[in-house]
Amino acid sequence: MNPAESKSTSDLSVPISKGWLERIGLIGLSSIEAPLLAALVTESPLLLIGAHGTAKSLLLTRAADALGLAFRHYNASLLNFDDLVGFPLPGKDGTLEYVRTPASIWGAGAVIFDEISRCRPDIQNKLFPIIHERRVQGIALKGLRFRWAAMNPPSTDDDENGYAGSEPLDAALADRFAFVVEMPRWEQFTPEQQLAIIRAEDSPVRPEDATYLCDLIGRSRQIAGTLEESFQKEIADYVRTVIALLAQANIALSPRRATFLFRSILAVTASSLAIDPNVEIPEAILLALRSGLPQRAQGIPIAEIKLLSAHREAIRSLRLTENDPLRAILCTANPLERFQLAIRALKLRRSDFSTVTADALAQLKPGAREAAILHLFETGAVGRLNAAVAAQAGESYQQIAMVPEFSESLHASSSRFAAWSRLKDLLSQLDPQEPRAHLHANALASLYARKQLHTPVDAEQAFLAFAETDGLLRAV
Amino acid sequence: MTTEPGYDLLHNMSAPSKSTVKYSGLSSLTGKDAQQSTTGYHFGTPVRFELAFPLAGHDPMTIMALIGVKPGSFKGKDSTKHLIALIEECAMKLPLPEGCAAIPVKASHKAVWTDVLTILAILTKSTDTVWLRSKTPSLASAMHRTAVSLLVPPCFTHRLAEVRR
Repeated sequence: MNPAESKSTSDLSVPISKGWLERIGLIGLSSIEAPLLAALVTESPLLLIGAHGTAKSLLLTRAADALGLAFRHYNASLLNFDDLVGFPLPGKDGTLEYVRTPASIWGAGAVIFDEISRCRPDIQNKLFPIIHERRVQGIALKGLRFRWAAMNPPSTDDDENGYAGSEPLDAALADRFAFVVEMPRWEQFTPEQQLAIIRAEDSPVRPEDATYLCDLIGRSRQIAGTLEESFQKEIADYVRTVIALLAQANIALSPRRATFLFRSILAVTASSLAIDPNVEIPEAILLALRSGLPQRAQGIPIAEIKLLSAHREAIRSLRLTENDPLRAILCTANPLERFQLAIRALKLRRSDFSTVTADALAQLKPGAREAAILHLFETGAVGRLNAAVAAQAGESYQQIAMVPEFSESLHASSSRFAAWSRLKDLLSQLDPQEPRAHLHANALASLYARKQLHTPVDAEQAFLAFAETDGLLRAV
Repeated sequence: MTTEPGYDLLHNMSAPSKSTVKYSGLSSLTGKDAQQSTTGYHFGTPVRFELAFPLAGHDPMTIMALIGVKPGSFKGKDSTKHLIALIEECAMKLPLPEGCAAIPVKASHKAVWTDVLTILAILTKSTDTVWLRSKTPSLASAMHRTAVSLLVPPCFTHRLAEVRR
């Protein structure tokens, strides 16, 4: 062999791995090492989502091997219920027993449902109790510790190159998985990792690597116990706040998910610390959050920016004192309620008041937003805003306090004309003797002039939203 | 060039008809007269703050002389800082809400305050749309304009009446 060639090959070899995944033969997955370890630590249901050939099944099979588990690997797209439980046989005492086969679920320590998104709905329903309660037909599956599943990314209407047979998971089934982890894609690997994958050989898990994993799980459990004793309240507060903030960004999570997140944050943080004692705790918490969102299995995209800003805000809220009004505001999902709380919280810092107000105004519907801006100026609360936010509110307010005159030539068949006709009908019902009616009319006319009302329904909704919000804010 | 009779008519028939939509206040839609407001606003009272002459080209020393501050009273101090401090002090005392909408100036808006320092406290703390008591004064903005009107909300107008008295 040419020495130069030999040198280049050795340069490209992967350095001796310290990560548990590399030890059991999985390369380039260090970014998801902690949540996967946490799933082993908590023995909570784990769902892997990834393109074909991203080693989902290999990972689960090797983890089961390393832990010495009796495991069953089912292809959910081909699964019949008899494959799971065996054949039913009436017992002598009138009970129903099952004739067990080597492939049936009885006696398994780990179970893998591959291609779960290609599974028939009736079979999916039967998987619910196995995944969530470790029960089948109401019978406890003694000895079953790990429930794992894998799927390709669900197909969506917008994705022409998606997986045609991979359906978005039912929301209730997706919510049964405490960990929903996305597998790294080929292009995310370094050139060295890609080459190592190409040359990888399928060799059994070495006993010392299996022991390493078991020790790591034990160490993580110990750390998780300590973390729970010391930071239980802080983590619970974080979960409460981050759920409210995600709801504000239209990412709704269930109460079950709140419980899952609390446990998974403890476990992922503990696992991260067991892997690397120098890890940044907020980063570990973000990793836990990212690995705990069921929406990914439902084909609902989650903007990273939304996730990141909710996480940062929730972390920041942990530093606030118990009585800081910002805590209550951050935990309130309804933008109008947040706005009202902020107006009432006179001790709120200017920067916080400005951020909360700007966010709330951006989330309020047309009509409601104008009523809120009116309230800001009527109460003088605008003076608590920073100049940039106040100037923006002032621009809208000018349109309400003064008559926003406009004239526009439209085709009678256009929807914009129809929207105006409906708006005109609605505004005609207002009593011009009432000073408030003029503000109402101006607010709606300015929305129309700014092309924010496109249809008659838009006009009706904005008309009602102004009346309702204005009434609510003035009552206070 | 000649056109055949009826050509224009045929051309117009091929275009969809258009209608004009317009808004010039609620009364224009309802056809009923509104309770007339003397100010033209149905909400709040506009107040005009106007300098008798532009300040462009004046340095802080000259402006302070206009205000009536004697040069000896701030000897050794930075004149700009001193002027800003006076503006801040004046703004703090003004019986206005913490923030007010700035609106286009009209001669019909009443000028409740006419002293240069108060007008500066408004001009230097106003953007195109809003006046904020807490805003850092910008002397440059007072150089560019001579007047601004604020729309004082109804629940604060009683304070204006006290000033007038």
